[in-house]
Amino acid sequence: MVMQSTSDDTLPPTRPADAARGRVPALGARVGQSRWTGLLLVLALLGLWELSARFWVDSANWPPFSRVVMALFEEGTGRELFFVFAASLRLMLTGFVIGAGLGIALGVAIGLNRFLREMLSPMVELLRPLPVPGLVPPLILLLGIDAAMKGTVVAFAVLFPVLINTAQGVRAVEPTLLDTARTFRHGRARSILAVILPASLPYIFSGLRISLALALIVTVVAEMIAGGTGIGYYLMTMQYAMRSAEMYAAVVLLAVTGYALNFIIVSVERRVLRWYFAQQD
Amino acid sequence: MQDGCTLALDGVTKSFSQGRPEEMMALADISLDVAAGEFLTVVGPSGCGKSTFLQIAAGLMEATGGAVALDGRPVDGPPGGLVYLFQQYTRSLLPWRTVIRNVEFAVEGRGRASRRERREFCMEFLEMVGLADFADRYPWQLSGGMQQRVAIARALAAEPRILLLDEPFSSVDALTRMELHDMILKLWEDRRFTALLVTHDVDEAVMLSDRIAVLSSRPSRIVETIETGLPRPRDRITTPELPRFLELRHYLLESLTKPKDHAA
Amino acid sequence: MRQFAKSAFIAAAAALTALPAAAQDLTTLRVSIIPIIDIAPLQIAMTKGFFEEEGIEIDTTPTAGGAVGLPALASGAVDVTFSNSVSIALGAAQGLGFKVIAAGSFTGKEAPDIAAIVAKPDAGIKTGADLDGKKLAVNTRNNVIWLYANAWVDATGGDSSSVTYLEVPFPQMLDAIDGGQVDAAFLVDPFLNAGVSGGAVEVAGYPYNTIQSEIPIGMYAVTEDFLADNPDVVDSFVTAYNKGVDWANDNAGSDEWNEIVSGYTRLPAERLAGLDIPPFHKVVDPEALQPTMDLMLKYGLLREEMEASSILADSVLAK
Ligand SMILES: Nc1ncnc2c1ncn2[C@@H]1O[C@H](COP(=O)(O)OP(=O)(O)O)[C@@H](O)[C@H]1O
Ligand SMILES: [Mg+2]
Repeated sequence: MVMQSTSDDTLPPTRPADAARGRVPALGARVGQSRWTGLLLVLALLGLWELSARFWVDSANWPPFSRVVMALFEEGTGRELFFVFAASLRLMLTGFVIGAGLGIALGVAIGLNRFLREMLSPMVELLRPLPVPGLVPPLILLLGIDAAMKGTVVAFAVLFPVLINTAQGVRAVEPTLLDTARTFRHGRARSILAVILPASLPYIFSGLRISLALALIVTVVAEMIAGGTGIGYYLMTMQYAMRSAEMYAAVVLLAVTGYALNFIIVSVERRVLRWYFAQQD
Repeated sequence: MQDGCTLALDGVTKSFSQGRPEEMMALADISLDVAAGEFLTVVGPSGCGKSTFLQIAAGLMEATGGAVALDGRPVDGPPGGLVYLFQQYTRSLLPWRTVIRNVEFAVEGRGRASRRERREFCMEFLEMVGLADFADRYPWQLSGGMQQRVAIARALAAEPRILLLDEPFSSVDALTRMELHDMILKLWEDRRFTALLVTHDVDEAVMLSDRIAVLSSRPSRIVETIETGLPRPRDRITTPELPRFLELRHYLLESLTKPKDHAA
Repeated sequence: MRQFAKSAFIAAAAALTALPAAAQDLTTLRVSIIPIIDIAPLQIAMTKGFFEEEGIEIDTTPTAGGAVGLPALASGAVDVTFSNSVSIALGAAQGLGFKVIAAGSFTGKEAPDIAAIVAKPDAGIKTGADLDGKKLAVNTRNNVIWLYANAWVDATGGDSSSVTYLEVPFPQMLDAIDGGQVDAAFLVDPFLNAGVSGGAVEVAGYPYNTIQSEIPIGMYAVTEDFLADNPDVVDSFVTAYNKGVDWANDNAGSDEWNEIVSGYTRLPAERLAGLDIPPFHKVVDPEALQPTMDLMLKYGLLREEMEASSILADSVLAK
């Protein structure tokens, strides 16, 4: 490892990685007045939903929003949905933690080691675009139809965005920092823990953000296919039972859950990466 | 406090292939002996290979040919007792760590000191550079000069026997640079490590050094070495007014800008 | 809900604590189901305790689409799967060793039936000939619905090879017809009932009745290996299930029946009340199943002839 950035001595200390990092910052980073316009837009769409279901679209599958809300507060529905969502979120978080952990570990390994990178990247590129529905049947043969299988599917979906972003982050670590660690004679483990991982966090977080949204979708899709429990199974059951109001109640809650999850990870990101965002400004 | 150590470069060469068949020769045959406790400066124009030279001396980069020895032992990786002060302080500090935690980075994993002891030990060095009040700030909350002082405190916390300085004062304003010069001189006089500085700034070289090595432009070699012979302690106002200072300055500037006229 | 650790935990807990003798003696069977009316006898037998009387505890794993039931059976993740004749025969032909141990659901004796091809009232689609060059929605290609759609088109003067089959889930079929994405759809209850009674669609034909009366469709399958290793458990399962069949037929339309069925299907009671439910059976006659196998051969789902009796275990044959 050499310092590759020593030839620009006469330049002020700009950081070449900044341009690349420019696309990393969190969605929803700019809040404030745009939040109100955003809320208005959501309300307008809900109004459109209500009107379209009442006056234009005549389908059992398109109940007015007000009926969906009523279903949500109906005796028993709320309670059932609570357990349905709890089951899905538990599955999702298990898969997310496993997939993200593996993604970070493999991403660091691939980012650091050219041999691994060249060996694994064709496989990563091949596996990455595999759709969840195609993944479920072969996995059933190996893992059955329970949480182990669905959790694996979720972890699989989470793995790649985290892995790819982490590897990119590791490769973008400022070489001067690595040289600094070397001159203080820190070993491999300390360099990874104290320098490489924290320096890659902006990238890792953008991978985690993408993956979290993906994890929720994949959980629901896996439950739709393999059934048993959770939001996906609930959606299917209610569709087949022609109870579209309950189905949309779950869909609305799903949207709210997705929003909440994103809000949480963005908040965590802004806290953890305060140093990073402060430097951006 | 241990004494400074010696550093010897013997016939060091460096070529970069840059992926092209024809190699670019950065260093051509560099031989230099740095004495224990000496303050030696290598001056040369930008792009002549000063950073390359210093990284090879630090064991951060492999030479194409020749040998480097620290206290007589061959260098094949960053050796113990050596600390490197990078030109780009913003790049060498850990932005996610507070100032004191940055200083602690130098001593982590050394010995079994408790967290508190480590912090107290490092605070002393922050006090030396006048930043004790900023211990819990983040580097990006400080000015450039303050950041470089953090890097200096961190370098000293590692208790170097030899300190390599790669143009560490080039990206701060002139007044701050003078303050940093005073500080590094004082610390060096107190602690007597060996100091090897590279710079393109002739005034800086004369102001700080016992001895100056002049590097030619690429492929670079050492054209000559000069004893400054200036008295210590140096003073930022009076030292530059000494005839010897002016004489050295004149000579070096001529030597660096018109190397052809000045056969050594 | 089954989690990774949960079953291991329960197993450990069971080993450590003395459970009541009765609970300990039950053999647990994992059954993959689809929560539709067709499995009413199974749910009834569970609710009424018929399985417990036979020393069996049923642990159901519902899948809404039914796509994973047979893979799960092949992998051993479940012991028994409720599926359809065509999918079971396909698996058997692939050497997965599926055997039918109990009858499930049959189509009706005569029209009107529980499944029909429907189109917009003004579309003028009355026979297979009217569907030539048109788009027909089926829930899944290469399954029993698709098979009988083909057979009906050809049997009523059309050319099945000129029909475009589009995969549309049952709940979306009426919307697809309304939106003009398809010209007709092979619809089943309760969607059929809802569409026809609401006037959105009219029945063009009842494909099952047209081909054959009382076709065995849904059935319970196990693997050959499971059958060989657990003949007594299978017998007990079938005995209890058949009690459920009797109860279902004797009490069809009763309040308790409605309560049980709307409980697991989640169908609103008023919707359930409007449905005609054909009687359930205990026996699958190989002669009644053979035409389905022959159609599979004709329409390319099988490469060679298959004897219906080859996938039927003794427990589902007439005594
Ligand atoms: N890693 C490298 N690969 C290729 N060329 C390099 C590399 N590092 C430095 N160089 C080249 O070597 C020459 C000397 O660079 P450097 O040592 O940074 O000079 P200085 O520090 O004196 O300005 C420059 O022309 C530079 O472009
Ligand atoms: Mg340089």
